[in-house]
Amino acid sequence: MSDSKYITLISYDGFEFVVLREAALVSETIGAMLRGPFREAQTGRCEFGEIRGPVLEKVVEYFHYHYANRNQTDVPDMDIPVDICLELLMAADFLGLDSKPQMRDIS
Amino acid sequence: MADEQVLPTLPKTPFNGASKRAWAQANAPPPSVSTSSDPAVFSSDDDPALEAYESARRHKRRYVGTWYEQHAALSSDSAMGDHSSSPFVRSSPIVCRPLRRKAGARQQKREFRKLDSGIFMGGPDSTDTEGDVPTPYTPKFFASPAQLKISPRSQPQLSEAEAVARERIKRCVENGTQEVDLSDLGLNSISTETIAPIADIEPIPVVVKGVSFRQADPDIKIYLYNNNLKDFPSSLVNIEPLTFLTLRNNDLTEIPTCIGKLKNLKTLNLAQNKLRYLPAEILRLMGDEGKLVMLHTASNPWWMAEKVSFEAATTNCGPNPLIRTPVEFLGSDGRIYSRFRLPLFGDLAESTGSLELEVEDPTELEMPQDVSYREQDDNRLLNPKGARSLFEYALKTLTQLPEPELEEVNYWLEVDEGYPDVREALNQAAEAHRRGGLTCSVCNRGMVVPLTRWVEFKAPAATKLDRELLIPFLKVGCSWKCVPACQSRS
Repeated sequence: MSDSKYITLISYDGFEFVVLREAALVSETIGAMLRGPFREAQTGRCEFGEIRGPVLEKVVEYFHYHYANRNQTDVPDMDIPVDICLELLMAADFLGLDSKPQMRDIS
Repeated sequence: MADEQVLPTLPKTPFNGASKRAWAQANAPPPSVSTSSDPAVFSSDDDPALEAYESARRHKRRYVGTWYEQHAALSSDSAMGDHSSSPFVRSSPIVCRPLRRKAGARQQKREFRKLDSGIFMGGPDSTDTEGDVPTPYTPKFFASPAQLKISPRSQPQLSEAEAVARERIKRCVENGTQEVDLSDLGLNSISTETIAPIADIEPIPVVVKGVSFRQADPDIKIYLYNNNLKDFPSSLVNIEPLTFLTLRNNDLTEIPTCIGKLKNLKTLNLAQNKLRYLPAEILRLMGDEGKLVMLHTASNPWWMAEKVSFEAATTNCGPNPLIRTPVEFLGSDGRIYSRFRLPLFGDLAESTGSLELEVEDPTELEMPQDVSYREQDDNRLLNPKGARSLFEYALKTLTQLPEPELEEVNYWLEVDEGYPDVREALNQAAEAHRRGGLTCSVCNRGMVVPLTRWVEFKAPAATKLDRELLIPFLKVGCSWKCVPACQSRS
Protein backbone atom coordinates (compact mmCIF):
# COMPACT_ATOMS: atom_id res chain seq x y z
CA MET A 1 0.00 0.00 0.00
CA SER A 2 2.68 2.41 0.99
CA ASP A 3 4.40 2.25 -2.37
CA SER A 4 1.21 2.66 -4.35
CA LYS A 5 1.11 5.21 -7.12
CA TYR A 6 -1.79 6.97 -5.45
CA ILE A 7 -2.44 8.27 -2.00
CA THR A 8 -5.67 9.23 -0.32
CA LEU A 9 -6.28 12.61 1.27
CA ILE A 10 -9.15 12.89 3.71
CA SER A 11 -10.77 16.16 4.72
CA TYR A 12 -12.12 16.67 8.19
CA ASP A 13 -15.69 16.29 7.01
CA GLY A 14 -14.89 12.92 5.52
CA PHE A 15 -14.30 13.57 1.83
CA GLU A 16 -11.62 11.36 0.37
CA PHE A 17 -9.50 12.35 -2.59
CA VAL A 18 -7.28 9.87 -4.37
CA VAL A 19 -4.28 11.74 -5.77
CA LEU A 20 -1.26 10.81 -7.77
CA ARG A 21 1.52 10.51 -5.21
CA GLU A 22 4.00 12.35 -7.36
CA ALA A 23 1.63 15.29 -7.75
CA ALA A 24 0.90 15.50 -4.04
CA LEU A 25 4.59 15.61 -3.22
CA VAL A 26 4.56 19.27 -4.22
CA SER A 27 3.49 19.79 -0.66
CA GLU A 28 6.37 19.60 1.70
CA THR A 29 4.06 18.66 4.56
CA ILE A 30 2.56 15.72 2.71
CA GLY A 31 6.03 14.65 1.66
CA ALA A 32 7.13 14.58 5.28
CA MET A 33 4.02 12.65 6.29
CA LEU A 34 4.70 9.99 3.69
CA ARG A 35 8.39 9.71 4.34
CA GLY A 36 8.51 9.44 8.07
CA PRO A 37 7.73 6.53 10.34
CA PHE A 38 4.12 7.58 10.50
CA ARG A 39 0.91 5.71 9.99
CA GLU A 40 0.32 7.80 6.88
CA ALA A 41 3.47 6.41 5.34
CA GLN A 42 2.28 2.85 5.84
CA THR A 43 -1.33 3.25 4.79
CA GLY A 44 -0.98 6.02 2.23
CA ARG A 45 -3.92 7.83 3.81
CA CYS A 46 -3.45 11.38 5.06
CA GLU A 47 -6.12 12.92 7.23
CA PHE A 48 -6.38 16.66 7.59
CA GLY A 49 -8.33 17.61 10.63
CA GLU A 50 -8.43 21.29 9.71
CA ILE A 51 -9.22 21.33 6.02
CA ARG A 52 -12.78 21.28 4.74
CA GLY A 53 -13.83 19.18 1.76
CA PRO A 54 -14.27 22.03 -0.74
CA VAL A 55 -10.91 23.50 0.24
CA LEU A 56 -9.10 20.19 -0.01
CA GLU A 57 -10.73 19.70 -3.40
CA LYS A 58 -9.15 22.95 -4.60
CA VAL A 59 -5.82 21.91 -3.12
CA VAL A 60 -6.03 18.64 -5.05
CA GLU A 61 -6.90 20.61 -8.16
CA TYR A 62 -3.78 22.66 -7.59
CA PHE A 63 -1.67 19.49 -7.24
CA HIS A 64 -2.75 18.37 -10.66
CA TYR A 65 -2.48 21.85 -12.13
CA HIS A 66 1.06 22.10 -10.84
CA TYR A 67 1.90 18.59 -11.96
CA ALA A 68 0.55 19.13 -15.45
CA ASN A 69 2.45 22.42 -15.80
CA ARG A 70 5.65 21.42 -14.09
CA ASN A 71 7.99 22.14 -16.96
CA GLN A 72 5.84 24.57 -18.87
CA THR A 73 6.22 28.27 -19.35
CA ASP A 74 3.48 30.85 -19.77
CA VAL A 75 1.14 28.96 -17.53
CA PRO A 76 -2.27 30.55 -17.06
CA ASP A 77 -3.04 31.52 -13.49
CA MET A 78 -5.34 29.32 -11.50
CA ASP A 79 -8.61 30.90 -10.41
CA ILE A 80 -9.54 30.76 -6.77
CA PRO A 81 -13.16 31.18 -5.73
CA VAL A 82 -13.58 34.08 -3.34
CA ASP A 83 -15.57 32.19 -0.73
CA ILE A 84 -12.80 29.79 0.16
CA CYS A 85 -9.74 31.93 -0.53
CA LEU A 86 -8.86 32.62 3.09
CA GLU A 87 -9.16 28.99 4.09
CA LEU A 88 -7.13 28.09 1.05
CA LEU A 89 -4.45 30.58 2.00
CA MET A 90 -4.13 28.99 5.42
CA ALA A 91 -4.21 25.49 3.96
CA ALA A 92 -1.46 26.48 1.50
CA ASP A 93 0.58 27.85 4.39
CA PHE A 94 0.08 24.64 6.33
CA LEU A 95 0.88 22.38 3.42
CA GLY A 96 3.96 24.36 2.44
CA LEU A 97 2.53 25.39 -0.93
CA ASP A 98 4.25 28.75 -1.00
CA SER A 99 7.39 29.78 -2.78
CA LYS A 100 10.19 29.86 -0.33
CA PRO A 101 13.23 27.70 0.06
CA GLN A 102 14.38 25.99 3.20
CA MET A 103 17.24 27.39 5.15
CA ARG A 104 20.00 24.89 4.89
CA ASP A 105 21.01 23.24 8.13
CA ILE A 106 24.49 24.24 9.05
CA SER A 107 25.95 20.93 10.15
CA MET B 1 -60.05 13.76 10.17
CA ALA B 2 -62.01 10.58 9.93
CA ASP B 3 -64.11 11.59 6.98
CA GLU B 4 -61.02 12.08 4.88
CA GLN B 5 -60.11 8.46 5.12
CA VAL B 6 -63.11 6.97 3.28
CA LEU B 7 -64.64 8.48 0.24
CA PRO B 8 -67.96 10.07 1.18
CA THR B 9 -71.09 8.91 -0.54
CA LEU B 10 -72.42 11.18 -3.19
CA PRO B 11 -74.54 13.80 -1.40
CA LYS B 12 -78.16 14.24 -2.21
CA THR B 13 -78.64 17.38 -4.21
CA PRO B 14 -81.73 19.18 -5.34
CA PHE B 15 -81.06 17.67 -8.74
CA ASN B 16 -81.37 14.07 -7.59
CA GLY B 17 -84.52 14.27 -5.53
CA ALA B 18 -83.87 15.86 -2.17
CA SER B 19 -85.83 18.94 -1.26
CA LYS B 20 -83.82 22.07 -1.58
CA ARG B 21 -84.07 23.24 2.02
CA ALA B 22 -83.44 19.85 3.53
CA TRP B 23 -80.37 19.47 1.39
CA ALA B 24 -79.05 22.82 2.28
CA GLN B 25 -79.44 22.25 5.99
CA ALA B 26 -78.19 18.73 6.12
CA ASN B 27 -75.18 19.20 3.92
CA ALA B 28 -73.37 22.05 5.39
CA PRO B 29 -70.02 21.16 3.90
CA PRO B 30 -66.98 21.01 6.12
CA PRO B 31 -64.82 24.12 6.27
CA SER B 32 -63.79 24.77 2.78
CA VAL B 33 -60.15 24.01 2.84
CA SER B 34 -58.19 21.71 5.03
CA THR B 35 -54.89 23.39 4.51
CA SER B 36 -52.71 24.15 7.48
CA SER B 37 -53.11 27.89 7.28
CA ASP B 38 -56.04 29.72 8.69
CA PRO B 39 -59.00 30.12 6.42
CA ALA B 40 -59.76 33.49 4.99
CA VAL B 41 -62.49 35.29 6.89
CA PHE B 42 -64.48 38.20 5.68
CA SER B 43 -67.58 39.92 6.92
CA SER B 44 -70.48 41.35 5.06
CA ASP B 45 -73.46 43.55 5.75
CA ASP B 46 -75.63 42.04 3.08
CA ASP B 47 -78.55 40.97 5.31
CA PRO B 48 -81.23 43.59 5.06
CA ALA B 49 -83.43 42.07 7.79
CA LEU B 50 -84.59 44.59 10.34
CA GLU B 51 -83.59 42.47 13.31
CA ALA B 52 -80.01 42.95 12.40
CA TYR B 53 -80.30 46.67 13.03
CA GLU B 54 -82.29 46.58 16.23
CA SER B 55 -79.64 45.55 18.66
CA ALA B 56 -76.97 47.97 19.78
CA ARG B 57 -74.28 46.15 17.94
CA ARG B 58 -74.93 45.20 14.41
CA HIS B 59 -74.23 41.70 13.44
CA LYS B 60 -72.23 41.39 10.38
CA ARG B 61 -72.06 38.13 8.69
CA ARG B 62 -68.78 36.32 8.68
CA TYR B 63 -67.76 34.11 5.88
CA VAL B 64 -65.14 31.45 5.92
CA GLY B 65 -63.25 30.66 2.78
CA THR B 66 -63.72 31.97 -0.67
CA TRP B 67 -66.71 33.99 -1.68
CA TYR B 68 -67.99 31.39 -4.08
CA GLU B 69 -68.21 28.81 -1.38
CA GLN B 70 -70.24 31.23 0.69
CA HIS B 71 -70.12 29.67 4.10
CA ALA B 72 -71.08 32.54 6.30
CA ALA B 73 -69.52 32.15 9.69
CA LEU B 74 -71.64 33.27 12.52
CA SER B 75 -70.27 35.96 14.64
CA SER B 76 -69.28 34.79 18.03
CA ASP B 77 -72.54 35.85 19.62
CA SER B 78 -74.82 33.94 17.33
CA ALA B 79 -72.54 30.96 17.41
CA MET B 80 -74.04 30.13 20.79
CA GLY B 81 -77.42 29.27 19.32
CA ASP B 82 -78.46 26.38 17.20
CA HIS B 83 -78.13 27.47 13.64
CA SER B 84 -81.32 25.96 12.40
CA SER B 85 -83.16 28.40 14.68
CA SER B 86 -81.01 31.32 13.74
CA PRO B 87 -82.85 33.95 11.77
CA PHE B 88 -80.00 34.28 9.33
CA VAL B 89 -80.24 30.75 8.19
CA ARG B 90 -83.90 30.95 7.59
CA SER B 91 -83.89 34.16 5.73
CA SER B 92 -81.07 33.32 3.36
CA PRO B 93 -80.01 30.29 1.38
CA ILE B 94 -76.53 30.72 2.68
CA VAL B 95 -75.47 28.03 5.05
CA CYS B 96 -74.17 29.48 8.26
CA ARG B 97 -71.51 27.80 10.26
CA PRO B 98 -69.70 29.02 13.25
CA LEU B 99 -66.00 29.14 12.79
CA ARG B 100 -65.44 27.04 15.86
CA ARG B 101 -68.32 25.38 17.53
CA LYS B 102 -68.58 24.91 21.31
CA ALA B 103 -65.68 27.22 21.96
CA GLY B 104 -65.93 29.91 24.55
CA ALA B 105 -67.25 33.06 23.00
CA ARG B 106 -64.64 35.20 24.64
CA GLN B 107 -61.75 33.20 23.48
CA GLN B 108 -63.15 33.11 20.01
CA LYS B 109 -63.55 36.80 19.91
CA ARG B 110 -59.95 37.35 20.76
CA GLU B 111 -58.89 35.05 18.04
CA PHE B 112 -61.03 36.80 15.51
CA ARG B 113 -59.48 40.07 16.33
CA LYS B 114 -56.10 38.74 15.62
CA LEU B 115 -57.24 37.37 12.32
CA ASP B 116 -59.02 40.53 11.39
CA SER B 117 -56.42 43.15 12.01
CA GLY B 118 -53.39 41.24 11.07
CA ILE B 119 -51.45 43.38 13.48
CA PHE B 120 -50.75 42.05 16.91
CA MET B 121 -50.61 44.93 19.29
CA GLY B 122 -49.51 42.98 22.33
CA GLY B 123 -52.09 43.32 25.07
CA PRO B 124 -51.33 43.76 28.75
CA ASP B 125 -51.26 40.03 29.34
CA SER B 126 -49.07 39.19 26.41
CA THR B 127 -45.68 37.98 27.43
CA ASP B 128 -42.47 39.47 26.20
CA THR B 129 -41.00 36.94 23.85
CA GLU B 130 -38.00 38.96 22.76
CA GLY B 131 -35.67 37.03 24.98
CA ASP B 132 -36.65 33.77 23.36
CA VAL B 133 -35.79 34.85 19.85
CA PRO B 134 -32.70 32.90 18.90
CA THR B 135 -29.79 35.09 17.86
CA PRO B 136 -29.33 34.83 14.13
CA TYR B 137 -26.58 32.57 12.98
CA THR B 138 -23.60 34.47 11.73
CA PRO B 139 -21.05 32.63 9.66
CA LYS B 140 -17.47 32.94 10.71
CA PHE B 141 -16.33 35.42 8.12
CA PHE B 142 -19.13 37.85 8.61
CA ALA B 143 -18.86 39.18 12.09
CA SER B 144 -21.10 41.91 13.30
CA PRO B 145 -19.60 45.39 13.09
CA ALA B 146 -19.52 45.57 16.89
CA GLN B 147 -17.35 42.48 16.97
CA LEU B 148 -15.10 43.80 14.29
CA LYS B 149 -14.35 46.99 16.18
CA ILE B 150 -14.12 48.83 12.92
CA SER B 151 -14.90 52.38 13.68
CA PRO B 152 -17.33 53.76 11.16
CA ARG B 153 -15.31 55.41 8.49
CA SER B 154 -15.38 59.03 9.38
CA GLN B 155 -16.64 61.21 6.63
CA PRO B 156 -13.54 63.10 5.57
CA GLN B 157 -13.97 66.73 6.29
CA LEU B 158 -13.53 68.80 3.21
CA SER B 159 -10.67 71.09 4.00
CA GLU B 160 -10.78 74.68 2.96
CA ALA B 161 -7.97 74.19 0.49
CA GLU B 162 -9.72 71.27 -1.11
CA ALA B 163 -12.94 73.22 -1.39
CA VAL B 164 -11.02 75.86 -3.33
CA ALA B 165 -9.50 73.12 -5.46
CA ARG B 166 -12.96 71.73 -6.21
CA GLU B 167 -14.17 75.15 -7.18
CA ARG B 168 -11.26 75.60 -9.57
CA ILE B 169 -11.77 72.18 -11.12
CA LYS B 170 -15.44 72.93 -11.58
CA ARG B 171 -14.60 76.12 -13.39
CA CYS B 172 -12.13 74.30 -15.63
CA VAL B 173 -14.74 71.71 -16.54
CA GLU B 174 -17.28 74.41 -17.34
CA ASN B 175 -14.92 76.48 -19.45
CA GLY B 176 -13.18 73.58 -21.09
CA THR B 177 -9.85 74.82 -19.75
CA GLN B 178 -7.29 72.09 -19.99
CA GLU B 179 -4.81 73.61 -17.58
CA VAL B 180 -5.91 72.76 -14.08
CA ASP B 181 -4.06 75.01 -11.69
CA LEU B 182 -4.19 73.72 -8.13
CA SER B 183 -0.90 75.22 -7.01
CA ASP B 184 -0.15 77.07 -3.77
CA LEU B 185 -3.27 75.86 -2.03
CA GLY B 186 -1.60 74.19 0.94
CA LEU B 187 -3.33 70.91 0.13
CA ASN B 188 -2.51 68.07 2.53
CA SER B 189 -4.41 65.49 0.58
CA ILE B 190 -6.76 65.45 -2.32
CA SER B 191 -9.61 63.00 -2.58
CA THR B 192 -10.79 60.95 -5.50
CA GLU B 193 -14.09 62.85 -5.61
CA THR B 194 -12.24 66.10 -6.15
CA ILE B 195 -10.03 64.76 -8.91
CA ALA B 196 -12.48 62.61 -10.83
CA PRO B 197 -14.23 65.49 -12.68
CA ILE B 198 -10.95 66.49 -14.34
CA ALA B 199 -11.34 63.50 -16.64
CA ASP B 200 -14.51 65.10 -17.98
CA ILE B 201 -12.76 68.20 -19.29
CA GLU B 202 -13.31 68.52 -22.98
CA PRO B 203 -11.56 71.18 -24.96
CA ILE B 204 -13.67 73.65 -26.84
CA PRO B 205 -12.52 73.33 -30.42
CA VAL B 206 -11.47 76.38 -32.32
CA VAL B 207 -13.48 76.69 -35.46
CA VAL B 208 -11.70 78.48 -38.27
CA LYS B 209 -13.33 79.32 -41.54
CA GLY B 210 -12.05 77.26 -44.38
CA VAL B 211 -10.49 74.62 -42.16
CA SER B 212 -12.37 71.38 -41.76
CA PHE B 213 -13.60 70.85 -38.26
CA ARG B 214 -11.56 68.52 -36.13
CA GLN B 215 -12.20 67.52 -32.56
CA ALA B 216 -8.96 68.15 -30.74
CA ASP B 217 -7.62 65.42 -28.52
CA PRO B 218 -7.77 66.41 -24.89
CA ASP B 219 -4.42 67.43 -23.52
CA ILE B 220 -4.78 67.96 -19.79
CA LYS B 221 -2.18 69.65 -17.63
CA ILE B 222 -2.33 69.53 -13.85
CA TYR B 223 -0.33 71.89 -11.66
CA LEU B 224 -0.06 70.76 -8.07
CA TYR B 225 3.17 72.49 -7.08
CA ASN B 226 3.76 74.17 -3.71
CA ASN B 227 1.36 72.01 -1.75
CA ASN B 228 1.88 69.67 1.18
CA LEU B 229 0.79 66.39 -0.40
CA LYS B 230 2.19 63.39 1.47
CA ASP B 231 0.78 60.73 -0.81
CA PHE B 232 0.63 60.68 -4.54
CA PRO B 233 -3.06 61.15 -5.41
CA SER B 234 -3.61 57.77 -7.01
CA SER B 235 -6.81 58.83 -8.68
CA LEU B 236 -4.73 61.00 -11.01
CA VAL B 237 -3.81 57.92 -12.98
CA ASN B 238 -7.42 57.56 -14.12
CA ILE B 239 -7.13 60.75 -16.15
CA GLU B 240 -5.99 59.17 -19.34
CA PRO B 241 -5.29 62.30 -21.44
CA LEU B 242 -3.00 63.75 -18.78
CA THR B 243 0.16 64.96 -20.51
CA PHE B 244 1.70 67.31 -17.98
CA LEU B 245 1.91 66.84 -14.24
CA THR B 246 3.90 68.85 -11.79
CA LEU B 247 4.12 67.90 -8.15
CA ARG B 248 7.06 70.14 -7.38
CA ASN B 249 7.62 71.11 -3.75
CA ASN B 250 5.39 68.62 -1.97
CA ASP B 251 6.08 66.05 0.74
CA LEU B 252 5.82 62.91 -1.37
CA THR B 253 7.83 59.94 -0.12
CA GLU B 254 6.84 57.42 -2.73
CA ILE B 255 5.39 57.23 -6.22
CA PRO B 256 2.99 54.30 -6.58
CA THR B 257 3.41 51.77 -9.34
CA CYS B 258 0.03 52.70 -10.82
CA ILE B 259 1.67 55.75 -12.41
CA GLY B 260 2.45 53.35 -15.24
CA LYS B 261 -1.11 53.82 -16.41
CA LEU B 262 -0.43 57.40 -17.54
CA LYS B 263 0.59 56.45 -21.04
CA ASN B 264 0.16 59.96 -22.44
CA LEU B 265 2.28 61.71 -19.87
CA LYS B 266 5.03 63.77 -21.46
CA THR B 267 6.31 65.86 -18.59
CA LEU B 268 6.54 64.85 -14.96
CA ASN B 269 8.01 67.18 -12.37
CA LEU B 270 8.85 65.55 -9.06
CA ALA B 271 11.45 68.02 -7.86
CA GLN B 272 11.69 69.12 -4.22
CA ASN B 273 9.99 66.16 -2.62
CA LYS B 274 11.10 63.52 -0.14
CA LEU B 275 11.46 60.71 -2.63
CA ARG B 276 14.00 57.92 -2.10
CA TYR B 277 13.45 56.01 -5.29
CA LEU B 278 11.10 55.78 -8.24
CA PRO B 279 9.13 52.77 -9.43
CA ALA B 280 10.41 50.98 -12.49
CA GLU B 281 7.12 51.88 -14.20
CA ILE B 282 8.50 55.35 -14.88
CA LEU B 283 11.31 53.78 -16.88
CA ARG B 284 8.70 52.00 -18.94
CA LEU B 285 6.89 55.26 -19.57
CA MET B 286 10.16 56.68 -20.84
CA GLY B 287 10.63 53.68 -23.08
CA ASP B 288 8.35 52.22 -25.69
CA GLU B 289 5.27 52.06 -23.54
CA GLY B 290 4.86 55.74 -22.83
CA LYS B 291 5.65 59.21 -24.10
CA LEU B 292 7.47 60.60 -21.09
CA VAL B 293 10.33 62.82 -22.21
CA MET B 294 10.81 65.30 -19.41
CA LEU B 295 11.41 64.09 -15.90
CA HIS B 296 12.44 66.59 -13.27
CA THR B 297 13.89 64.98 -10.19
CA ALA B 298 16.06 67.57 -8.53
CA SER B 299 16.24 68.10 -4.77
CA ASN B 300 15.10 64.75 -3.48
CA PRO B 301 16.96 62.68 -0.88
CA TRP B 302 17.59 59.89 -3.36
CA TRP B 303 19.37 56.72 -2.48
CA MET B 304 22.91 57.10 -3.70
CA ALA B 305 25.19 54.59 -5.27
CA GLU B 306 28.33 54.02 -3.30
CA LYS B 307 31.19 55.77 -4.95
CA VAL B 308 33.85 53.13 -5.26
CA SER B 309 31.72 50.48 -6.85
CA PHE B 310 30.14 53.08 -9.01
CA GLU B 311 33.44 53.95 -10.56
CA ALA B 312 34.22 50.31 -11.12
CA ALA B 313 30.91 49.84 -12.84
CA THR B 314 31.29 52.78 -15.14
CA THR B 315 34.74 51.93 -16.24
CA ASN B 316 34.02 48.28 -16.90
CA CYS B 317 30.86 48.57 -18.88
CA GLY B 318 29.85 50.11 -22.11
CA PRO B 319 28.09 53.38 -22.85
CA ASN B 320 24.90 52.38 -21.08
CA PRO B 321 26.21 50.97 -17.84
CA LEU B 322 24.11 48.96 -15.53
CA ILE B 323 24.66 50.20 -12.03
CA ARG B 324 22.65 48.28 -9.54
CA THR B 325 22.57 47.08 -6.02
CA PRO B 326 22.78 43.40 -5.15
CA VAL B 327 19.53 41.54 -5.50
CA GLU B 328 17.36 40.95 -2.49
CA PHE B 329 15.76 37.49 -2.55
CA LEU B 330 12.49 36.99 -0.73
CA GLY B 331 10.07 34.21 0.02
CA SER B 332 6.39 34.59 -0.67
CA ASP B 333 5.85 35.39 2.99
CA GLY B 334 8.09 38.44 2.69
CA ARG B 335 11.06 36.90 4.45
CA ILE B 336 14.44 37.93 3.05
CA TYR B 337 16.87 35.13 2.27
CA SER B 338 19.77 37.07 0.86
CA ARG B 339 22.47 38.84 2.81
CA PHE B 340 21.74 42.11 1.07
CA ARG B 341 18.73 44.01 2.33
CA LEU B 342 17.25 47.18 0.96
CA PRO B 343 16.66 49.79 3.64
CA LEU B 344 13.28 49.39 5.25
CA PHE B 345 10.62 51.16 3.31
CA GLY B 346 8.56 52.19 6.29
CA ASP B 347 11.28 54.29 7.89
CA LEU B 348 11.84 56.45 4.87
CA ALA B 349 9.64 59.29 5.91
CA GLU B 350 11.57 59.97 9.11
CA SER B 351 15.11 60.23 7.87
CA THR B 352 15.77 63.04 5.48
CA GLY B 353 19.37 62.73 4.41
CA SER B 354 20.28 60.72 1.38
CA LEU B 355 21.36 57.16 1.88
CA GLU B 356 24.27 55.34 0.32
CA LEU B 357 23.43 51.99 -1.21
CA GLU B 358 25.96 49.29 -1.75
CA VAL B 359 26.52 48.65 -5.43
CA GLU B 360 27.31 45.26 -6.84
CA ASP B 361 29.67 44.45 -9.60
CA PRO B 362 27.19 43.98 -12.44
CA THR B 363 29.00 40.92 -13.69
CA GLU B 364 28.21 39.03 -10.57
CA LEU B 365 25.00 37.87 -9.08
CA GLU B 366 24.85 36.49 -5.62
CA MET B 367 22.15 33.95 -5.02
CA PRO B 368 21.49 33.03 -1.41
CA GLN B 369 23.99 30.34 -0.53
CA ASP B 370 22.64 29.03 2.71
CA VAL B 371 19.31 27.80 1.40
CA SER B 372 18.47 24.47 -0.15
CA TYR B 373 15.86 24.11 -2.83
CA ARG B 374 13.40 21.36 -2.65
CA GLU B 375 12.81 19.55 -5.87
CA GLN B 376 9.35 21.03 -6.13
CA ASP B 377 10.79 24.54 -5.72
CA ASP B 378 12.35 24.33 -9.12
CA ASN B 379 9.05 25.31 -10.55
CA ARG B 380 7.58 27.73 -8.09
CA LEU B 381 10.72 29.60 -7.23
CA LEU B 382 13.01 29.14 -10.20
CA ASN B 383 10.73 28.88 -13.20
CA PRO B 384 9.93 32.47 -14.09
CA LYS B 385 6.90 31.80 -16.20
CA GLY B 386 5.75 28.57 -14.64
CA ALA B 387 2.95 27.85 -12.25
CA ARG B 388 2.90 29.95 -9.13
CA SER B 389 2.34 28.66 -5.66
CA LEU B 390 -1.14 28.07 -4.34
CA PHE B 391 -0.32 30.56 -1.60
CA GLU B 392 0.16 33.29 -4.17
CA TYR B 393 -3.01 32.44 -6.05
CA ALA B 394 -5.06 32.59 -2.86
CA LEU B 395 -3.33 35.81 -1.89
CA LYS B 396 -4.13 37.32 -5.25
CA THR B 397 -7.83 36.58 -4.86
CA LEU B 398 -7.79 37.99 -1.34
CA THR B 399 -6.12 41.25 -2.29
CA GLN B 400 -8.73 41.87 -4.93
CA LEU B 401 -11.50 41.81 -2.36
CA PRO B 402 -13.18 45.11 -1.63
CA GLU B 403 -11.75 47.03 1.26
CA PRO B 404 -14.30 46.26 4.02
CA GLU B 405 -14.09 42.53 3.36
CA LEU B 406 -10.33 42.67 3.44
CA GLU B 407 -10.56 44.33 6.82
CA GLU B 408 -12.74 41.48 8.01
CA VAL B 409 -10.29 38.89 6.78
CA ASN B 410 -7.55 40.75 8.59
CA TYR B 411 -9.61 40.78 11.73
CA TRP B 412 -10.07 37.03 11.64
CA LEU B 413 -6.41 36.45 11.04
CA GLU B 414 -5.66 38.68 13.98
CA VAL B 415 -8.07 36.75 16.19
CA ASP B 416 -6.51 33.48 15.16
CA GLU B 417 -3.01 34.62 16.12
CA GLY B 418 -1.57 31.37 14.83
CA TYR B 419 -0.73 32.79 11.44
CA PRO B 420 1.56 35.79 11.84
CA ASP B 421 3.34 35.00 8.57
CA VAL B 422 0.11 34.79 6.64
CA ARG B 423 -1.10 38.06 8.04
CA GLU B 424 2.15 39.79 7.23
CA ALA B 425 2.10 38.42 3.68
CA LEU B 426 -1.49 39.51 3.21
CA ASN B 427 -0.76 43.01 4.49
CA GLN B 428 2.15 43.44 2.14
CA ALA B 429 0.24 42.09 -0.82
CA ALA B 430 -2.76 44.27 -0.09
CA GLU B 431 -0.54 47.32 0.22
CA ALA B 432 1.12 46.56 -3.10
CA HIS B 433 -2.28 46.09 -4.71
CA ARG B 434 -3.45 49.43 -3.33
CA ARG B 435 -0.43 51.11 -4.89
CA GLY B 436 -1.32 49.82 -8.29
CA GLY B 437 -0.04 46.28 -8.34
CA LEU B 438 3.34 44.87 -9.16
CA THR B 439 4.70 43.84 -12.51
CA CYS B 440 7.78 41.74 -12.93
CA SER B 441 10.55 43.90 -14.38
CA VAL B 442 11.98 40.95 -16.27
CA CYS B 443 9.06 38.96 -17.62
CA ASN B 444 6.32 41.61 -17.47
CA ARG B 445 3.95 39.39 -15.59
CA GLY B 446 1.64 40.69 -12.90
CA MET B 447 2.28 39.38 -9.43
CA VAL B 448 1.20 39.79 -5.84
CA VAL B 449 4.42 39.36 -3.91
CA PRO B 450 7.87 40.23 -5.17
CA LEU B 451 10.41 37.42 -4.89
CA THR B 452 13.35 39.57 -5.91
CA ARG B 453 14.01 43.27 -5.44
CA TRP B 454 16.87 45.43 -6.47
CA VAL B 455 17.58 49.03 -7.30
CA GLU B 456 18.99 50.17 -10.60
CA PHE B 457 20.55 53.56 -10.96
CA LYS B 458 19.89 55.44 -14.15
CA ALA B 459 20.54 58.93 -15.29
CA PRO B 460 17.59 59.55 -17.54
CA ALA B 461 18.08 63.24 -18.04
CA ALA B 462 21.81 63.51 -18.28
CA THR B 463 23.95 62.67 -21.24
CA LYS B 464 27.08 62.63 -19.15
CA LEU B 465 27.23 60.22 -16.26
CA ASP B 466 27.40 61.98 -12.97
CA ARG B 467 26.92 60.28 -9.65
CA GLU B 468 24.74 63.11 -8.42
CA LEU B 469 22.37 62.73 -11.31
CA LEU B 470 21.72 59.04 -10.91
CA ILE B 471 18.15 58.25 -9.99
CA PRO B 472 17.37 54.96 -8.23
CA PHE B 473 14.63 52.87 -9.74
CA LEU B 474 13.19 50.00 -7.73
CA LYS B 475 12.73 46.83 -9.73
CA VAL B 476 10.93 43.70 -8.70
CA GLY B 477 10.94 40.16 -10.04
CA CYS B 478 8.36 37.39 -9.85
CA SER B 479 10.77 34.49 -9.38
CA TRP B 480 14.31 33.93 -8.22
CA LYS B 481 15.34 33.71 -11.85
CA CYS B 482 13.86 37.10 -12.58
CA VAL B 483 17.02 39.04 -11.92
CA PRO B 484 18.98 41.58 -13.95
CA ALA B 485 20.89 40.04 -16.78
CA CYS B 486 24.58 39.75 -16.02
CA GLN B 487 26.79 41.71 -18.32
CA SER B 488 29.87 39.93 -19.33
CA ARG B 489 33.12 41.69 -18.76
CA SER B 490 34.48 42.77 -22.07
